[in-house]
Amino acid sequence: MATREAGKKMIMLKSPDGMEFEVEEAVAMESQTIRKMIEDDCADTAILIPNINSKILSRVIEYCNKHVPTTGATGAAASDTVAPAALAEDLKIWDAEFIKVNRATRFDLIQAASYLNIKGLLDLTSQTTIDTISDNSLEEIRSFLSTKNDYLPEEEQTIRRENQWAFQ
Amino acid sequence: MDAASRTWPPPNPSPAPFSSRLRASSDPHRRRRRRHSKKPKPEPPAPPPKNAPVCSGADFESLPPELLHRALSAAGAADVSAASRACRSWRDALQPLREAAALHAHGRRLKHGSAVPAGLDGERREAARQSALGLFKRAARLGSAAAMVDAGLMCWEEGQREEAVGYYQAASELGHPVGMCNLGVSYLEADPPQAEEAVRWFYPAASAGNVRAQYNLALCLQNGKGIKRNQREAAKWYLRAAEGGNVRAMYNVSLCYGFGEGFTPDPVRAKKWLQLAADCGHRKALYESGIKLCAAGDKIRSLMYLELATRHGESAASHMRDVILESLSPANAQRALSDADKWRPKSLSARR
Repeated sequence: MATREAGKKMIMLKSPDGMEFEVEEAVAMESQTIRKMIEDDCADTAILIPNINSKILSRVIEYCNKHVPTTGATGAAASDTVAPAALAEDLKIWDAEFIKVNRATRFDLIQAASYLNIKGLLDLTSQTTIDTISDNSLEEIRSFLSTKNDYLPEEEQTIRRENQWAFQ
Repeated sequence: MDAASRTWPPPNPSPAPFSSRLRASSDPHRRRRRRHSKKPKPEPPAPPPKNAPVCSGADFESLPPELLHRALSAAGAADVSAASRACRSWRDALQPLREAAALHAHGRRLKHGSAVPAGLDGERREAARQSALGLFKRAARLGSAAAMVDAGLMCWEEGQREEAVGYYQAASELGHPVGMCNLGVSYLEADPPQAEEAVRWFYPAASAGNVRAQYNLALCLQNGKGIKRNQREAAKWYLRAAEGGNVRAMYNVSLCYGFGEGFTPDPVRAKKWLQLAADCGHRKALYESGIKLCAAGDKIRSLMYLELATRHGESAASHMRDVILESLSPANAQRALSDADKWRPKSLSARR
């Protein structure tokens, strides 16, 4: 890992509410969107991240910081790490804690992960959504996700019938 | 399934527009009357958004359709169906995935024969397979990760490896553990093998609980393929896979305990896992169990295991079987052989 010794290159990320975050280039490049910007040399000063407020952006950076060494782009880095199973286990626990946030934050994280195109975070938020759906009853899903039930009762019956095959 | 047997929850306080209008006109009357008799009470809790703090910007209902689609593309059909029933916007967003799930399910029925009468000739069976593949591909285009995996599997079987890898990659991008495991395997099978790439995909799949990925990762760790050799790590992943029901992993766990490779030597555990692997029909485990029983003097059971090992294709077992067969009385030998006939591999219920 030559870049580490030779002083890390830093990138400035700016949220629309005016906060600035200085992060290592490798960390920022966990985001495919930012990676493209950097590769296209659009990142000489600071990168403005629209749509993502500082609170969410700081959480996203926290996530990238945690995940950068293990999912590192260089194949060599992965094989150097000691006790990778324990590490993977730790990361999983960390992820589980990380995503224990309120609904609004999770909603924002999904959008941020999608906009910034961070695969790991997108997978994590997706899996949590799936888990919420498969672990709860319909009413619980609706109340948890704050989704309104806008079906008429007879419509509910119809769509339930239409979906019967899924449980065969 | 649980979700299906659940009684349908009574509709929310405010579903039908006409009923709410009716209530609106009758309510003020009642309230006014009350006011005469008692002190005004606070409004009765209007349609209660249970334990949901008012936080309008974050209605999951308003999640962009493509994001919801992405979030559920690796989900099972039952989850997609459940999510579709949450609200209209979700139903609309998940329309492609529901269609994909239906196509996928039909394809599976075609491929595994439950939709096709048994005893078909080869040609028609092949036709059924081809239409199954077509269905999988259509479902994959609609975004179902599980269908991508099945399409990849069939392409692989037909020798279309590049196309198969493409499907596996797409499924892995969506975070589908089986897709990641299969992608890893195809990197191992590539010419030349790309073990590092393989390990990179085995890891997330193994941590997500995919048993085959756990076993493959353990193999790579044990042999130093694509990753630094690490016996202890290998033993750990073998154990995880064995606990998940992987028979080869059970046998390898017994070796790890037996030889103290990666685990501290533990003959009791070694024996326990060997026995379990044998009961599940692992060839070498059957053979070794036979030898151990013979050494312990239990010739009848030993003969049964050796016979089973031979039937499972362990050629080394046949010689010893014959020796024991001759040393036993015909009645005892018959008993052992009929036990072997009655034997069935233990089937472990899938954990996931």
